[in-house]
Amino acid sequence: MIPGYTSPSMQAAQRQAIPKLSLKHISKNFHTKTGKFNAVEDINLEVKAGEFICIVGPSGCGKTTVLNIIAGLEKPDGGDALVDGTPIKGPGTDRLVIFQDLALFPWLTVSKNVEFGLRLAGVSKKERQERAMHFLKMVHLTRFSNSCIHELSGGMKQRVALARALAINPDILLMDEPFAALDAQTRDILHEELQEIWVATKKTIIFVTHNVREAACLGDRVLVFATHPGRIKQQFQLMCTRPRHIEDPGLMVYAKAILAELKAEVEKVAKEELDYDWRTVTKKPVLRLDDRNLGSGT
Amino acid sequence: MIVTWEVAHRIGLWPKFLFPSPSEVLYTLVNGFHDKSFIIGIIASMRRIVIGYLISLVAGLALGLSFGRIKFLEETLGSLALGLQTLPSICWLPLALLWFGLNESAIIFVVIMGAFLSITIATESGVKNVPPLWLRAGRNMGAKGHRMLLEVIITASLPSIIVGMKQGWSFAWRSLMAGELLYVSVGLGHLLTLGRELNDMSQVLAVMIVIIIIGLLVDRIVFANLERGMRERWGLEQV
Repeated sequence: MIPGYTSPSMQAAQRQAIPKLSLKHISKNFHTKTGKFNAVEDINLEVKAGEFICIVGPSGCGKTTVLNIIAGLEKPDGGDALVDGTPIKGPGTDRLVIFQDLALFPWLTVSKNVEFGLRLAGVSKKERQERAMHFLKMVHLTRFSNSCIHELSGGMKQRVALARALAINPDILLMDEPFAALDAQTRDILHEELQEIWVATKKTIIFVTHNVREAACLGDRVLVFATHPGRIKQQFQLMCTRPRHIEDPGLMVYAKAILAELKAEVEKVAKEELDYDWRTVTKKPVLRLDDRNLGSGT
Repeated sequence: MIVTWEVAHRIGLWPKFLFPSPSEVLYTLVNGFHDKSFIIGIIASMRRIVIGYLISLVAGLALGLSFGRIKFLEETLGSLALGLQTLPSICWLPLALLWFGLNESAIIFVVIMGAFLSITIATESGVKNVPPLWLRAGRNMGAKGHRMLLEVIITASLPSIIVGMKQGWSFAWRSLMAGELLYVSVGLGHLLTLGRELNDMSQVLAVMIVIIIIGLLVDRIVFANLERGMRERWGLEQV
């Protein structure tokens, strides 16, 4: 769509040296009935303004914890989390989360949901409506502005959540497995739209997913998380042109490499949790020679 | 049903003055509205219940919210509220009479005790059951303090609050009638007592019909609409 497009991250890098977001030695523990457990340990990450970061990792590796720390919804037990060089103190509308379960408010219509953050910020009614309309247009939902949330399909709800976040005009969008529950076709469309919106709005996006191909499709950089404790195991810089499609053959190389990293982690988790190593299970042939009663005629 | 009633009246199974015919009851009803005695009674009762109910609503919401949000209050006063709710509110009448004397305040107090606790308890459970995700989303979008309370917590608890309001209304209505029956001048309950004292069975039945109709109307018009509106918006309506 945009030939010769250079990623906003490159432009941003030329512009400024202070990273948009930086995590230094972040650690976080949770206390459960069975004792203390290390959600994340020693996370170090620098994100440039306008960069699209994808995070993949096995469940329980602290991806969501990292997002919550950046959002200011949780406090790290150690380390520093900085936005534009200043420490994060609690939630702020410069960093918005799009939650896995969306958290749209069913008591508000679509446009009222989009206006919600603006109303809290004291934006006038007229401007609120204009901005809501603008972003609903961006996600192609103007027709449904007065609908109730439950009347929308999964993909449409996703769009509302995106518009609601964009309307508040955050610098950083934190997306927590937003497309996990959608069917593949809807997801494809949303991948495309998200890339367009990202290019148009120049947001910094941190996108958590389970789906390796999705990560390869969307990210400038893909981080693979390891578990117990959660930490960054490997990073991949993706140099593919935009817009990308999830089926692009060029992405497959990356997807394969990321998957290889991830698979080792997932298997480790399975082994720890289930005390079972599926690799050691030998495959038995369905038929063995002596099963075959060939009628030796005793 | 009315035909059976009329036939039963004609056969004369029971003395006619104890078992008036539907037409007699209807006549009393019309007459009651005509000489304004019923209207005065309705207005007096409605005034009491509206005042009592509004106070219950405000107090119940406030208390329910604080129980739902402040653990200390819930553990201390919360269980007390639960215990007190098992007490039929008319049992507060003797106490109210001693505290307030023979006047309007006493009966309004009884009405409040009828409605307020069920609104409190419903609000509390609604607030406690607000999905944490909505709270986080609200916080994330900049909701704090009273904005959070008003725009996220209360609205998210509405399904439960409406159930409590509805239940509170029916409790309030019952306690008001009981209170008016037991003493107090003017009001629907008083008209019932009057009917009994005058041995006027058709007045007793006519007033009972009025009480049923008012109860139904409020339930069907006010609360049914409130509930339906909420359910439609939330998508809770069964298709």
